[in-house]
Amino acid sequence: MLLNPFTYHAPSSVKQAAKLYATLADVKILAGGTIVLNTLKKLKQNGAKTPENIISLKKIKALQTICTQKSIITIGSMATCRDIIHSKELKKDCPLLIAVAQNIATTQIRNMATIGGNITGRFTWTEFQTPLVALDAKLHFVTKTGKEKIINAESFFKQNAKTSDILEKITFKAPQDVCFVYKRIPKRAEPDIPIFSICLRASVKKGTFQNVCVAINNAKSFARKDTKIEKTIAKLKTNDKAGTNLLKTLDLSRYAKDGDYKQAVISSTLKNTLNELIAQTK
Amino acid sequence: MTKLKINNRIYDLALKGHETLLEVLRDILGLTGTKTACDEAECGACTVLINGKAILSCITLAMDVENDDITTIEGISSGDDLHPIQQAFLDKGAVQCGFCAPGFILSTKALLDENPRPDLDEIKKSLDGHLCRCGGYLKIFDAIEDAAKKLRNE
Amino acid sequence: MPLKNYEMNKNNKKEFLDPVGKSVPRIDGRGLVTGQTKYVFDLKLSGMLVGKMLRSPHPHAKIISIDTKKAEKLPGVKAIITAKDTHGVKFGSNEFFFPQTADQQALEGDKVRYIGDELGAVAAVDEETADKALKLIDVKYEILPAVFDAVEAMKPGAPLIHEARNNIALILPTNFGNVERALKESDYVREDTFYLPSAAHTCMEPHVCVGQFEEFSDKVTLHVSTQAPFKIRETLAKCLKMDLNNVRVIKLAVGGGFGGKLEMLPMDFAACLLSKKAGGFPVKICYSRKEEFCFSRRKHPMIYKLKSGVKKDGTLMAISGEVIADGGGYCSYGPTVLAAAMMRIFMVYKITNFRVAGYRVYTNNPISGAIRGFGGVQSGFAIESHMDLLAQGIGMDPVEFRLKNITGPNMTVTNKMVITSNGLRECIEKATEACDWKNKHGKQKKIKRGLGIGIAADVMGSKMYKSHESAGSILKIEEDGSIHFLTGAADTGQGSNTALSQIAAQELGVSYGRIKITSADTAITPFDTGSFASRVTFISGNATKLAAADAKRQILEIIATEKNIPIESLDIKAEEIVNTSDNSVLMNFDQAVELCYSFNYGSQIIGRGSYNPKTTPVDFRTGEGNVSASYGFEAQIAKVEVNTDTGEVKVLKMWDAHDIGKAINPQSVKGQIEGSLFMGIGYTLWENLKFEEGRVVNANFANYRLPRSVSTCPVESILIETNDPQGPFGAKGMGEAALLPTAAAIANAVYDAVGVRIKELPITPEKILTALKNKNNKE
Repeated sequence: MLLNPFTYHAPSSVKQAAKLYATLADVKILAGGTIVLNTLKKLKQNGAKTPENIISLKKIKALQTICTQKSIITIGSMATCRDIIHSKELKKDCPLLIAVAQNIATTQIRNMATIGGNITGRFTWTEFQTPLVALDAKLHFVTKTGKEKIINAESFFKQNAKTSDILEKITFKAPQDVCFVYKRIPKRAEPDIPIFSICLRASVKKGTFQNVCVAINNAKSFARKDTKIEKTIAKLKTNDKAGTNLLKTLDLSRYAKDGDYKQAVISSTLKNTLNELIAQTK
Repeated sequence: MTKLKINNRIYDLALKGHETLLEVLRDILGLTGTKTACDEAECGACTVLINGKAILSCITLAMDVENDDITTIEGISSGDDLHPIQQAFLDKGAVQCGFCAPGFILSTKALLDENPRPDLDEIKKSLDGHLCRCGGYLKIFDAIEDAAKKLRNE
Repeated sequence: MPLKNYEMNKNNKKEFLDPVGKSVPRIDGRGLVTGQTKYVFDLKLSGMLVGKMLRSPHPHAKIISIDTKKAEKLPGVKAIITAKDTHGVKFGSNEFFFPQTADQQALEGDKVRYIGDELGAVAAVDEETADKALKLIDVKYEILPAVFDAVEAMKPGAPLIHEARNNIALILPTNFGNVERALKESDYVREDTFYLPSAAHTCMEPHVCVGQFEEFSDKVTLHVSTQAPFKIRETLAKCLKMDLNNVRVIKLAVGGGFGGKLEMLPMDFAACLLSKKAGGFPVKICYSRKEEFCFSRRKHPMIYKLKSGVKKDGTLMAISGEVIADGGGYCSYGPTVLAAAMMRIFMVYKITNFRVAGYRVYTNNPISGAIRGFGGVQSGFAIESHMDLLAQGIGMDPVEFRLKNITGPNMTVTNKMVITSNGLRECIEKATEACDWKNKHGKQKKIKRGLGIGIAADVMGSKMYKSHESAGSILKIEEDGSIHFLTGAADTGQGSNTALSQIAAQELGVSYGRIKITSADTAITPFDTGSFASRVTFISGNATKLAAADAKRQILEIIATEKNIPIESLDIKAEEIVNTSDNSVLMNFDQAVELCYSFNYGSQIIGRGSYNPKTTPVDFRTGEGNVSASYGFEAQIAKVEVNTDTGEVKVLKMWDAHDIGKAINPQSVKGQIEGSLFMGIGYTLWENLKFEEGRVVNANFANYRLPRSVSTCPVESILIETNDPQGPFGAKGMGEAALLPTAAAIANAVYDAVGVRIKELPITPEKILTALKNKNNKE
């Protein structure tokens, strides 16, 4: 399908991109393009209007780096899933993100899709949301005046990923003494977008769960912490029955209707996630 | 003018900016080996290599890949000789209607250039972005294992 | 520098001699792996315009008026056509045996009957202009009530879509023996209803054509992605009211057909007529993937009711039932799909008492047509699940039950099908042996694994749609000994070009490397019915064998004269002319050809062959008739594992034992089996073309899920060669059969694993979890 015409802009710096973004009318950011260009085609197919301007961040090389300094991991917003999967820094300091990236879409999409595009594309089901919430990551934006604006990942998704600034990088502290488990439920058959994903973070000390964080994305809304599940887990003992006990008191009706297939699968996913975390800590 | 380097040849093109790489290849340059079978980045038939990595040309803007190394199916045989991957696809019966073949062959090249000894799971995963309706994939796996052996000179 | 044709020269490569039975490389393979081979999808002709179809947005409506004036004025628009530009000819792909099913016009003028029904077309300089022009055409409709459910459509008072009473386009009744008495005499009787959804072909190359009208000679040429160029020629000539020799249909490489490209679509007609109206410029019409899903053809959704009885000892006493097929707005190949769905059982099981009525029903859904399996996929699921349930009812092993009731070789069955070679017993025995059925079936419930079997048969050389269904081949031996092979058979990727060339070379006694092929061009190649019903190897193969034998005879006649040796003592073997009486070599093939073209003889060697399978006409009022000259058989076993937390069914391995007569190219045969089988797995587990009020709701790959590399399982193919007495070198063929029993094999395996029976496809995780919950509640 040929795309509807638009004006293509390729700024060479983030500051330039942010300024352009603020001044141009009817504009979309192209950060990888796997979501945006596909959306443009769908809009054209439905006879809907498509943007007049596209700002591509492709030529800003500085946005593609991944590095660790003084146990702070920095990931440029234009780092692709592939960059994340092959990153030596992340393999050492945060293999969780690699596990998440490996499940995203297909090989070609992983070669093209960026972490920045994934979380700022305003699609609720995108997969880097839950791990970034569980990592308490900070999102560094550049405003139209060139200033840096930092917002916590959890807060960003609470405001439905709305922003008029350009995402430059993501930072978080390299996790220590804590385990992560990430699980997702594909919509149909793999490879597929998830209908539900969970990132569980906790450490186990003296038979109890500590520093529990449960980031959930049920695909219909952006990722957020589920404090009810966190509190429930914090009360459990770390034995073989933990997963079953978790389900005893949980009310999952906010994620899926009672008796629905989705709720049954979410239940078993939660149970398996907790059991896997316990296994990791042994 | 936009400079595109395709199969080691430089093309100077007057592009408007909204052209996909696929459109440039097929409609402007007449390189019709790259196909497309969907409008939603699902089929993999439009796969080309950018700097050796498999990407979908249907959702790549041509102007975004200026100065990158672009390889299409037309660029992997050398002279009269087929690339060992192409030969293996023929030898192992991995090609039926052939519409999906260029995409699969290029993804295979990207895989084997990076990982000369892939196991079956790695092969399957590297092809997860491709659809084949004729063949059922198994002979493609055979072809890739065969090509990998030949490229390792075994 | 153009790439040399690899290995396709006339060198005496050892592996190319006696090629039948060898996995020789594809004759057309090189261009496919280099991307150089052209599909109609790639075709660009000088001055080519872009064509688009004008479609109805309503499922059922009268056309009151069509005003194209505004659209005609749009700069860049070169031609617009509606029904008034046509001769108003009605056609239907099965109209020869079922005249009442000629219910479609190339462009509808009175009424539209499904969302997408074509009533006009536009040709313009580019896609954007064509799209704009479509929007400027003002169509006034009178919307009519619509019906989308086949059962509802059959009820009195339902909106009438055509003239057919109760919207039943066709009833196929069958009644053999005495079903009532046989059921009374049975020890166990059961009733089951099975629900089969629609599905899409999803050929990778969409429907695409380029039509060109040559005014000065009044000829039309259509390049089209098709499985049946001669079928398209026939219908196109009928609708354009032109002679067959003025209509040329050319097939290039085709990116898959699977039954969806077996007939003329309105787009093919429109491309030609638009070209005429635009002054002879070629017009290309190419479907988008969405149009493929919504406006081409789909699988017939079916409700399959069965009530059968068996004796305690396993004897199948009677089968009765009803099949309701949702045909959509027009008939297409519906009648033969329904007939095939019902008649297959006679090929597989010995059954004397049989009464099943089939109804092909009109609804205001998109058109149901032929798709790989021709009704046999739907009936395969129903019958093979039902058979397992019957076996269960009498406590018998499903394999033992089948072995007791299957057909055998050299028998005429109840509905007068004449089965000659039949390897079904051996297929079942080999498949069950390979998977260790005895020790594994019924024994792996603890690990939630199970085995399930399904068996099937297929026609290999059938005649069910026209007066003749012949194939023709021509072998031209050129002066330098190279061979130009012309065949009407359409290779859509299944490898017919290769297999037929192998047959030609084998029969002629020369290297496969000598052959170059031109196929499926109606002006150049002989007639061929088309690539469907798995017929090409058998029918076109026999025509090819005859052509090669004819060419051989012509050469040997000259040598007989020259050498004064009786022709009966001459043969061509492995590129040599041999005197069979003393096994002496007289000369090589090149020398023989040189002799033929020498001064004194100067005889052109052109072998010709035509083959029409010997069958008897099918009486569609009763279901009697030997529809095919050969029948193929198979047994398929699935090994599955069920995740009782998520409901996911994982197919761990498939075994397929197949009676293919003789494998002309074993690698191609296995490739077809695997491809067909995975299409079957797709239909069983994931594919489901969904409709809401006549509109496809999942018209894209994101929501219509196909099998992918990561969802494959190993397939063990066992080829059984029964050497069919009428097949070329004993070959029957392979194209469809491997997806006929797949759904039942998997459903039966699921039952073996976790004790739940799913009677509606696809077998989704939701259905499994619901069934498990219901089972646990009962226990």
